[in-house]
Amino acid sequence: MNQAVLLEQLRIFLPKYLTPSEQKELWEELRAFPSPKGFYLPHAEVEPDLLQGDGWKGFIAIDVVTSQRKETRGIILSNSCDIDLSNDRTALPNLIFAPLISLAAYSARLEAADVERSRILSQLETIRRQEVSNIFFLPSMSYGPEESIVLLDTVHVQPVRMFVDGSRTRLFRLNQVAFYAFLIKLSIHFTRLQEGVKRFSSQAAS
Amino acid sequence: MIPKFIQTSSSGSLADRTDQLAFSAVGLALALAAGAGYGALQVSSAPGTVSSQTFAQVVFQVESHDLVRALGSLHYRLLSRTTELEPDAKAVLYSSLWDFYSE
Repeated sequence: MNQAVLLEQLRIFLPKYLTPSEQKELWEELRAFPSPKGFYLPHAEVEPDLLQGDGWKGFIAIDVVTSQRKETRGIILSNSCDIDLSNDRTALPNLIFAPLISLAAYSARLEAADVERSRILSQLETIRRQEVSNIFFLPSMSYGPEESIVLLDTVHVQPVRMFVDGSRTRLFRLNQVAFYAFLIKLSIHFTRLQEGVKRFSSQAAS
Repeated sequence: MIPKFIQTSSSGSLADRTDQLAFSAVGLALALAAGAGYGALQVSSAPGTVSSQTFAQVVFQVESHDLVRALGSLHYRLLSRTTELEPDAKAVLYSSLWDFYSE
């Protein structure tokens, strides 16, 4: 299926609950990916709840090797429903997050390690195109952080209640297209439904 | 408004329910091919419970849904282009992780 056919097919299945103008905006942003015009919602439009993909300051990360504890910025990986404290539960949920890493800081560290400049630029561009399977890239745009990356294989957990009761500040909320991209990256990293590995016992055939 | 649960009543056809899911924001996440099974697990007449029959039907319906096929194509097109960092760049990143965490 070529790109044009795929995009036309996707347009048919755009969410029906959106208004025509919202559908159009979503469609244009999908077409522009991986260089969307926007990535974050204006702060004024963001409600105070916790949603998957939200960026916050005030997470607590613990290094399992050294047992060090550090406050850090991060992005919520947990799905929104499972961390909603207004749901009735028998046990309070945990929140899964991944720390944000400044792309500039990473670039500087690569330079300090004497990695060739052209290769550094190549690696950063690969990251910016969202092509690194375990990295989600956050561009520097209105209402967002500085250029940052999220390592999907470096996650931390803390009780939702502890996070909610602690000192915290929202950094950003992803817009619709950025959220889709985030989900796709999560899906690619964590799940491969069609991984192509047969998981049947050889005894089942006999 | 984010749904507190993806919860449906036991009435109505399964296809209707799958459509409702597929065209919701959370449903789109569910429809992202590889993640489909997790979303399907939440479809039940009561949160946290699902019969084996319901699970089998929903997984089948979700997997055969056009939206899933379309987004599945996108998913695997992205997957086909994904790569890893070069070894030395990766080593620099992972050896300094803790230093990169900041307020």
